[in-house]
Amino acid sequence: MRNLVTVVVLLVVGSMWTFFALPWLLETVFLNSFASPGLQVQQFLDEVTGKLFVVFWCCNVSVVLLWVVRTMQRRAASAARVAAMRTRWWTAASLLLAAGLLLSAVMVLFRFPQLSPGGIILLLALLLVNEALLFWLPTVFASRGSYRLVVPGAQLFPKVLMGGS
Amino acid sequence: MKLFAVGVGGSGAKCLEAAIHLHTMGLLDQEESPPTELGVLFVEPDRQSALLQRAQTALVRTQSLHKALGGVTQHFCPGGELKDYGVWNPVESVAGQGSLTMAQIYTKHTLQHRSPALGGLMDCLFTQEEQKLDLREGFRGRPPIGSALMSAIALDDSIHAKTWGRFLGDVRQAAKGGEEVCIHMFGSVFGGTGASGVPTVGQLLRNWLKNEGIQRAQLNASLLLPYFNFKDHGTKDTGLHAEASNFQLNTGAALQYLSQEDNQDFDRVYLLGSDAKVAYGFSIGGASQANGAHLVELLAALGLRDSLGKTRQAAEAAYTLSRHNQSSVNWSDLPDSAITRRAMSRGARLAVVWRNNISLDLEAANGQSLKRFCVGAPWATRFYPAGSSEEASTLGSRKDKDARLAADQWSETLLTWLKQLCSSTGGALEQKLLNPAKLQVQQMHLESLADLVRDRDDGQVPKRETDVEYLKIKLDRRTSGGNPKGTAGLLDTLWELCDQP
Repeated sequence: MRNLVTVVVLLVVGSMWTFFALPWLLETVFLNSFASPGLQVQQFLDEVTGKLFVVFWCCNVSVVLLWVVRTMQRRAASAARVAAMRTRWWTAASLLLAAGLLLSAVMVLFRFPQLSPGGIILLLALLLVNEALLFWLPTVFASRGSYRLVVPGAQLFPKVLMGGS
Repeated sequence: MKLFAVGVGGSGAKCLEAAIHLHTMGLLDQEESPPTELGVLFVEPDRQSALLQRAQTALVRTQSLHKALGGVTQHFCPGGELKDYGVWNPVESVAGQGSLTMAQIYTKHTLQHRSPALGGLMDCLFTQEEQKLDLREGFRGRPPIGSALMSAIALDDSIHAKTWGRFLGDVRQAAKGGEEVCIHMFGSVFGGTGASGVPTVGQLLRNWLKNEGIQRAQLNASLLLPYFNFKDHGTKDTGLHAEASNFQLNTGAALQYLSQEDNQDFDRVYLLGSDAKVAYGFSIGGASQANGAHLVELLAALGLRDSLGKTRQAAEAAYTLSRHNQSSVNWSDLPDSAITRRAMSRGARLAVVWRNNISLDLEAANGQSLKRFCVGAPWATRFYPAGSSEEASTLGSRKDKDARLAADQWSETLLTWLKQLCSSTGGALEQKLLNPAKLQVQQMHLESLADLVRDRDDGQVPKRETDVEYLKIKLDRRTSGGNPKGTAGLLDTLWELCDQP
C-alpha cells in the first residue's frame, strides 16, 4: 500500500513538473537559450511542451506502473532473482532514453533544423531530467522491500524512506 | 544449572540426540536463569552402531555451531555449553580392542576346575551361545549379559578416566561448588544394552554420589518401554539377536526390578512407550541399525526438561501422560505444550529458512563483492557492513564461510531429525506436529513457510507472515544497534524473527 501511495505522490509531483513547471521554465528562464535565426520559438515551444514532453511523460508513467506491478507480483525469495531485476531496470531506462531521443528527433529536431546546438543540448538535458523525475525517482522509492537496492543510486537514500513491503 | 545426560544403548543415544536438539532450541533453559550447560556421555558396547554415530554427528555439529557463533549471540544459543564426555564402551574398557565373551569375563575354564558348582550355575544362567557371544557388537537383546558385565565395573576406576573420570569430576566440581546438578539417564528397558545398563549404571552412580557425600544432585531416568517392532526377524545364520517377542519379557523384568521398595537409585523415573508401534527393519546392530528418530525419544528428552528446577523431595507422586485423540498426536499432547510447540516450531522455521534459502543466497554469492550481493539481498547490509579491506568488502571470508557451513550442517541434522520424528509415529497414528514434506533439505529457494507447523488454524496467520521474503524484509528493517554482525548476527536475528507465539 505504501508503495502505491509513494508512486502516486511522485507521479503527481512529476506531472506538475511536466505540465506546469517545465512549460513555465521554458517560456521564461530558457526562452533565450532556444532562440536562433529562422526559428519560430513559440511554435517550437508548443511542440516541445504540448507534444514531446507529454508523450515522454506517458512513456515514463507506463513503464513505472509496469515496474511497480512487476515487483509487487514477483516473489523475491532468492537474492539472485532480485538482483536480476537490475538488468531489467537498466533495459527499461535505456529504452526510455532511446524513446526520448527518437521522439525528439521525429517531433522536434527534424521539424526545426534551425535549432542551435546549445538548444539541442538543453532539450536533451531536460529529457534526462524528466526521466530522472518520472522514472528513476519513483522506481527508487516505490520498489518494495526486497527490491529497495535494485535501482542504481537507491543506497544514497535513507532506508527509512524506502521500500514499503 | 548443570545437566549431565547419559544415554545407554541405541535408544539412549537417540534420546541424547533429542536432548541435544532441545538444548539448542532453548528448551532446557529455565526462565530468568543463565543458560543451562549440558554434558553428554554415551554408553554403548557397539562402536559401529549407526544410532550412536548419528547422535554423535548431532553433537559434533551442534558444538561446531556453538563455536561458529562465538558466544556473541544474544538470543540463539547464548552460552549454555554443550560438553562431550565421549563414548564409554563397557566391553572395551574390560577387554581393550580384543574380543570378549561371558566365558572370558568369568574365566569359566578356571571356574569349572576350581568350583564346578559355580561353573554349573553359569551354564544354568547363560546358554552356551550366550557365553560365547562376542560382546563387541552389543548384548543382542540379552539384559543379563550386560548386567553381568557392567556390574563388575567401578566407574571411578582410572581406566575410565577419559569418560567417566571427566564426567564424575565435573559432577563433583559442580555439586561442591553449590551448583544445581541433575544427572539424567536414558535407555530402553526392552532391549539388551539399555535394559541392563540403565539400572546397573544408575546403581553405580547412586553409590558414587553417596560415597562422595553429594546430596543435592538429582539422579533421574527416562526409560523407554516398547515402542517399535521389527518388520522381519533374524535367521539361523544371524546368531543371537534381539527379538521383538522378548521385548515384553525384558520390560517386565526391568520394571519389576525398578519397583522394588528398596530400590531408590533414581529420584524420578519417566516411563515412555507407545501402543502404536513403528516397524523398523530388522538388524543385529552395527551400521545397519538405522532406525529413524521417534516421538517417544522426544518425550523422553522432555523428561529432562520436566525435572529442571524441581527438588528431590517433590517427587512423591506419579503423573501420567497420554494423547487426547487415539488416532493422532498433536502439540497439545506434549508436556508444556505451548512452550514446547513454540520452541520446536521456531527451531524448524530457522533450520528450513536457513538451509533452504538464506544459505543458498550466501553460497551463490561466495566470493562476490558485497556491494553487488546487496543489490539482491538488502538485508545483508545490516549484517555484513562494507569494510575498506578486500576481505571485508567480499562475501566469503574464512570466518563467515566456516560459520555458514556449521549452520548448514546443524540445520541439516535438525531437519533430518525433525523429519524422522514426524514421519515414524507407527501404526495408523497420525502426526500433527510438523509437516515432513516441508522439512526436506532442498537446493531450490523455499518461498513460504505455510503448512510447516501443523495443528494451528492457518487462517489466524496472515499469508505474508509465512513468506520467506517477508522474513528477509524484516531482517533488513532491523536496526544495527549493538547486535552482533556477520553470520552469527544473522542467525541470531533470524532466530528472533522465527518466533511466532
